[in-house]
Amino acid sequence: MGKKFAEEEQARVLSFLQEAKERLIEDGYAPNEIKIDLVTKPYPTIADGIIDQFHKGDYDIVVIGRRTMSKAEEFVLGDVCAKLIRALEGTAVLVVRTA
Amino acid sequence: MNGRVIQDTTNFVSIDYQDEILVGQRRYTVTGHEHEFRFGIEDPKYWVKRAIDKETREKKIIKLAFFESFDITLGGVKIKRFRNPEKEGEILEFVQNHPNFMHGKVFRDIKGNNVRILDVVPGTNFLHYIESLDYDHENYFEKVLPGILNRLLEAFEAIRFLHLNGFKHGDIRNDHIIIERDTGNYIWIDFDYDHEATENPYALDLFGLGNVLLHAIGKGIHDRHMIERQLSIYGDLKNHLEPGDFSILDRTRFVNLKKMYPYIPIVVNDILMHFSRSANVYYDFVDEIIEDLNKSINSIN
Ligand SMILES: Nc1ncnc2c1ncn2[C@@H]1O[C@H](COP(=O)(O)OP(=O)(O)O)[C@@H](O)[C@H]1O
Ligand SMILES: [Mg+2]
Repeated sequence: MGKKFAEEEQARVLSFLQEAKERLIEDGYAPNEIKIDLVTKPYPTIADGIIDQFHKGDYDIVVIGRRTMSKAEEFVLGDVCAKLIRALEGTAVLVVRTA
Repeated sequence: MNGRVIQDTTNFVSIDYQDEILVGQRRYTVTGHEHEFRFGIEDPKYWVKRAIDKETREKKIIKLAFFESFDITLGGVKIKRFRNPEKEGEILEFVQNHPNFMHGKVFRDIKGNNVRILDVVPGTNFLHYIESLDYDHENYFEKVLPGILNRLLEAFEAIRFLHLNGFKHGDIRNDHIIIERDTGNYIWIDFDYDHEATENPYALDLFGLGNVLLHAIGKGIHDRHMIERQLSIYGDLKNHLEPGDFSILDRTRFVNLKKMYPYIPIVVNDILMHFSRSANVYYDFVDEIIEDLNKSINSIN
């Protein structure tokens, strides 16, 4: 991955998180209770990263988006949600269908 | 031009018969290059040379650095694939004493190009071996297949060993297993293909293993075209086909072999069905295939 691409990607994700935070504040959450954390450490897969971060922090639930995939996509590309549900047994995982 | 001493292998296409490649302070006389036959078309592989070690007279295969990158589409999913000579070198180093992998050493030419000097694995590849067996399917299934599955189990264990250590084989195909003439060992060759990482880093390797099993259990691959045309072999199977009987990544490849050969036990057929379009669960790890393969072997014996 190029350095420039990585930087742009971080800025994009950060502004997305910022937007989500503002939405929560609009809905009445206290700003000081919302914490944004962007992890840039590389992991072999996205699921590995989320699982590792989950175990490191004090979290009660994982909320994740999932777009509709074909069977072939699910097989070749893998499914982060399925891996989280399996690995985080005993934890609430909320999957939001995105498209 | 022939008879040159070559220390820079960058331009591998021009290296030919009778040239000498000099790396690691040894000389190798080139005797030709490899070919692969796909769909009856000959494909010269100028980056894979046949050679003889001038000192020991041993036959060697020399793989020269060739960088290519392209997209493949599998079941409508695009994925970037590329050659990675360094990866092949790392695996060679890693599997030095393993009986189910080809062996060899990595050297650098004077320009720093990766040059892999490989021991030749003498024998027939798995694709040709299965095609050469002169049995009807039922006899093959009873008498020959159990022995083959035991050997495949070892070969699959070897892939598990790679995965556990973070390596992908990258090009698991029936002609990338050579059955070693003297030992009967199933030996993996060709580790330089790589592909972009996904959430399922080993999916393509697993799909390859599925194809190896399909070839073994079906005594060859059966596709829609064959089933529809060769009625003397397949009878009226064509009238009972469903989309779910075919491969998840290739809608012409027939996977539900039990429909064709009813004596195949369900446990055996179920492994194959994990790779079909009707599957709802897929294998994520080789371990899972190995476990089911063990059960299958017990069910046939
Ligand atoms: N160690 C080996 N022993 C015997 N034959 C080999 C070995 N390595 C390669 N070959 C032969 O050379 C062919 C091409 O080599 P391969 O490594 O598959 O190249 P590529 O990466 O271009 O597919 C193989 O299909 C096989 O027939
Ligand atoms: Mg090859």
